[in-house]
Parts: sequence; C-alpha cells; structure tokens
Amino acid sequence: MNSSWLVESIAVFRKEWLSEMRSRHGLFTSFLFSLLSVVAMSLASFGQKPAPNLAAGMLCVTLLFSAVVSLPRSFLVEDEQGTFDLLRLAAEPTAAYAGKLIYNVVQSLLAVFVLTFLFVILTRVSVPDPFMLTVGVLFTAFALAGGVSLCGALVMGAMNRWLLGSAVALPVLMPQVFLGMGALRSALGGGTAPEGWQCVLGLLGWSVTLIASGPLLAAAAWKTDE
Amino acid sequence: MLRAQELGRSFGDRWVFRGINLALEKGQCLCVLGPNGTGKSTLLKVLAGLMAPTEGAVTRPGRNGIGYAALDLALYPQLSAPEHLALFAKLRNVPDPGVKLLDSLGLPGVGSKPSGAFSTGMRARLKLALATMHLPEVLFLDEPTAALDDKGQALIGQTIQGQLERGAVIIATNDPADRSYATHELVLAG
Amino acid sequence: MKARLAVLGVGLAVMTVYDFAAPDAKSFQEPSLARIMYWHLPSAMICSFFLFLSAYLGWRYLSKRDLAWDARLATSIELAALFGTLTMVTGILFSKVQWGEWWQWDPRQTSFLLVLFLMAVSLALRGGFADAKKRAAVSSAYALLSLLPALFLIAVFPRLPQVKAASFHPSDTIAKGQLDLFYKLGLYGTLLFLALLAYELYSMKVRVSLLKQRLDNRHGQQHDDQTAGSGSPATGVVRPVGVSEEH
Repeated sequence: MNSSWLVESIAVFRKEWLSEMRSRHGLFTSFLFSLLSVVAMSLASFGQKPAPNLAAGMLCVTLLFSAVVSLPRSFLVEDEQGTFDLLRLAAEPTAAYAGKLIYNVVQSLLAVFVLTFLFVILTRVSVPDPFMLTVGVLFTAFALAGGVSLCGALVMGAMNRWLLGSAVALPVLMPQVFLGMGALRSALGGGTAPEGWQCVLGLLGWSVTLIASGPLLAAAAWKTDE
Repeated sequence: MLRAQELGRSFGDRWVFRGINLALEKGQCLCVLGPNGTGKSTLLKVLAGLMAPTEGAVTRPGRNGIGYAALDLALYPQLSAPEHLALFAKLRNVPDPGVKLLDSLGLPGVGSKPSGAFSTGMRARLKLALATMHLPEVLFLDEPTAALDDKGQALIGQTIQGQLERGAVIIATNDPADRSYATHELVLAG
Repeated sequence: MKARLAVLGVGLAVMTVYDFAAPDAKSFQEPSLARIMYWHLPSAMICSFFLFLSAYLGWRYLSKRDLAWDARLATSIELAALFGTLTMVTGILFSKVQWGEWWQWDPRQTSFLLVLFLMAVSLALRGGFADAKKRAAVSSAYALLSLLPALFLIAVFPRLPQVKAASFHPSDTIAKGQLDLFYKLGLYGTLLFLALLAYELYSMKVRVSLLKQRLDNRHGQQHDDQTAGSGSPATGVVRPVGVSEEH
C-alpha cells in the first residue's frame, strides 16, 4: 500500500460520501428498511422480553438483512448510472474498491450501532455484558461491510444485480451470522464469557479475511485486459 | 504507442468486429468510420481497456496514458465540475487544474452546480476536461462534436491539435468535420 | 471409454448388492434402513471435494485467464451441487426413518443446507452474466470467496462443542474406528466407485464443454469467412487508410 493508493482510496470514499449526502434518498430508504426490520422484530416478541438465545438470533438476522439490502448500493448505483467506466478509467481497481469499502464500513458501523441500540430499547432485553456486545457488534459491522461489498462488486454488470447481490451475500455471511450469534448470546447472558470471546475472535478473523481479500478478488473480477 | 492485433469482440453469438490490426504512433490521428451498429464505439472501448476483447490483444499505455471521452460516458450527477476535476486529479495523481481549465473549455462560472443539471454540451466539455487534464499519450474521442455548438467544435479542434503534439488521437465519428483531423482512417463495414 | 464405463457400472452394481447383503447395523433405530449411510456419507465427501476443487479451479482461471479453466470450474460447481443434493435427499430420508422427522433442524443438517445454498447461488451468479469472460472471472472470484464459508460450514461448525452436543450426527465414528468390518468395506467400496463415477462425469462434462467452446470459435470463424464479402452486418471489415496500419 503506497501513499498514492491511499490518496486514491480516500478520494473515492469522499466521492461516495458527497454523492450519498447530496442525493440522500438512497441512504434514507436503506435506513428506513433497517428501522422497519428492527421494529418488526421487536413487534414479533409481542411485548415479551425474548430469551438471550432468541434475542441474539433476532438481532443478528436484522443486522444481516439490513446490510444485504443497503450496503451493495455504492457498487450497484455506480453500475446503474453508468459512471463505473469513468471511475475505471482513472482509478486503480483495488483503490476504487477500497474507497467504496471504507464508505460501506462507515455506513455499516452507523447502522449496526443504531439498530442494536434500538433493538435493546424496544425489546427491553437485558445486557449483562455491554462491552462484549459493543465489541461483537463492532466486528459484525466490519464483517458485514467486507462480505456485502465484495458481493456487490462481483454482481456489477449482472442481470437482476440487486436481487443477485443479496442472494450471493447471504451464504457467504453465514460464518459471520453463527459467530455473531455466539458473541451476542453471551453478551446478552445466554452463554459463558469464554464462548463469547471465542466467537468475537472468530468474527475478527473473518472480518480481516473479507476486508483483506476483497480488493484483490474484486479487481480480478473487474479486470478487462485479457 | 497503441497496437492491436487480430482484435475481435462478440456479444453472445454476434461478432461486432473481427481481425482488426492497427499501430498508432505519436502525431497520428486515426478516424474510425462506419455506419451505425458496426462497432465503432465498441472498438474504442476495447482499445481503451474498458471492455475485454473476445479475441486478439491490445498493447496500450498505462492508466495515466489514456484519456477517453464519449457521449455515453456518464458523470457523477451529484458532483460539480470542480469536484469532478479534484477527484480525477487525485486519482490520476496530477495537480488539480481547477477553474482555469474549466474556463478554457468554455465552462466559466459553473461553480457548485451539480453535473446532473448540465446541458449535453456542458457535459461533453467537462468530459473533455477529464480526458485531457493529465496530458495522456493516447486520447480516445467517441463522436466528440455530436453535442457541441460551433465554439465547442472549434475547442475540439484545438484539443486534437494540442494532443497530436504530445501523442495520438483516435476518433470514432461520421462527421466530416472530425474527419478533417485524420491522418489515418479505419472503415468498419459489415 | 466404453470398457471404463462398463467396469464402473459393474462395480457400482456389485457395491449396491453388497450394501443390501451386509448385516444390519444393530445400534440404529431401524437397522435395516441405516444402509442409506453407504450412499449418504460418500456423496457428502464427494460434494465437499468438488467444492474445494472449485476454489482451486477459480484461482487457476484468475491466474491464467483461459476459458478452459472456467469449463472445469462450471463442471465442478455443478457436480458439487449434484452430490450435495444427493447428500441432502439421503439425509432427509434417513432423518425421517431414524429420527422420526423429515427435517430436524439438526445443526449439521442445517449447515449442509447452507453449503447447498452456496452452490445454488454460485450457479445463479453464473446465469447473471452473458459475457463468457466476465462470467468466468466473477464465478472464479466467488468460488474463492466461498472457500472459507464452505470450510467453516463443513469442517469447523460441526465440530464446535455446543454444536456437537446438540447434533444427532455422529461426528467421529470413523475416526475412532467404531465401524465394523462389513460397514467399512461397504462404505469405502461405495465411496471408491462413486468417486470414480464422479470423475467420469467430470471428465465427460469438461470434454463436452471444451468441445463446445472450440465449436463456438470455429462457428464464429466460418461465419466470418462466409459473410466477409457479402456485406452482412454481423461482421466487421476493416479498411485502414494510411501507411502505418497493419492489416
């Protein structure tokens, strides 16, 4: 990683940020969908405080669905408005991917923490280990951003790309779901602390793998000089 | 500068073009001509590296050695012209030419107006700015004068002449005015 | 080729007869129907093999950019899906007979279902692209990306202590040598012939795909030759004007 690569990545991130902040409707729709998911999940508990195992599962599924719907946007919008060629002409492919990934990580972090906070408030679930919940949710956000970004990058140019993006991301994110559920279950009092930290460690490894391999795999899939 | 050997591109079963060989050197301007649907734009995209060839090979300068402007190339609708220049200056690792370049290209005072609110001619000028701001070795222009008024067409002429002093130009066109710059012609016909 | 197929057919027939003739496995709820294991376990092993092979083939395509590797990759994904489906069907039958329910939400059953989804979306992803090279590149990248989730779902997840405790699946019967000789022979023999069948299917399908690629290329060339002088819009004729262009 050299300085010009970093400058390129940050320039792409800035472009994503400016574009999204100015159009806002896409971000607003994604946020609305996430909010509706968390409210629906809370409603599903019929005012009863869900058991830690169930609550961890409900929260993980909510975070997963909100991510697969909102995070591929930065890639698919580029594809739809026809600006990807313009970007490819100038940007190094791994830097273009990295810039979008940074944007998705920021968006994922915001969404995941807001949704988790709302979920805890709405379902009145008790959190005996808030630190583990915070760390578990943090790495869940990284893993979601890493996995969904890569899948978004892969389905660019495909027919039915919006649906396909979500479909290909779900199985890839399964390890993250299992590990996230393990960590959140322990944080919500349904498992032991060592089990929970083991899962947090697994989440960290999974996030690092997805984030590190993403630029290379995306660049390989975008390559046109053959 | 730019070479293509036995270049071919198909979409599914349909070959758009095949067997194209060319070599372009500094100071040369190649006009790609032909009726609609013969693959002029596709050939430019393959030569510029935006599309993979189905067969054959292209030798071209690196990313920063290529400039490309086309009617169907989209701009970021939420970004203004100076923001486009700033973004591409960072991506190309060159100094930001700023409003000076915009003024010289006939886009004075566009300020913070997003490119989504530009006219077709204004967009064409901004694309020309993005294609030339890093002084590329090979400049690809697809139907460069199609959306431009007389002043814009004169601007294209100046740009091509300036480009030929440091590199080469490839133009896909059917406009006789664009053909006047050609040192070579490639006629695509079905 | 014919002789190979004949030997394979006879081998599979012999193993089928053997599997039925072998004594019942006494420790099961329905000992006589536990024979489905002879097909279930080898199918799962072959499915896993093709899954990991797909990742290797994906890597080969991305490093070589030769569509022959994509033909192999596509075949490998298809066979992984085929043997994965066989595993799932035999597993569901076994679940109904031995455990009383078609679907138990057994953690291993569920994790294997997710592996099957991985295969299904790989095929769906391939269907999303019309351009062969783009399809090959994306499919290869996804095959590589799938490697870790597949490893997790096949090798790690079933061995987690909490999953082991909750699952009906025996996880280390073979490793601990708890199979009797009849079962071992049946299992390994069926695995051998099913693996040979899988190899035969793989090589046949790859040959067909490569021939199809070659035919497509030849068809394109012939079409070009036939229509070169006739003014057909399907081909491009280049007439360079100038001194430095090669034709």
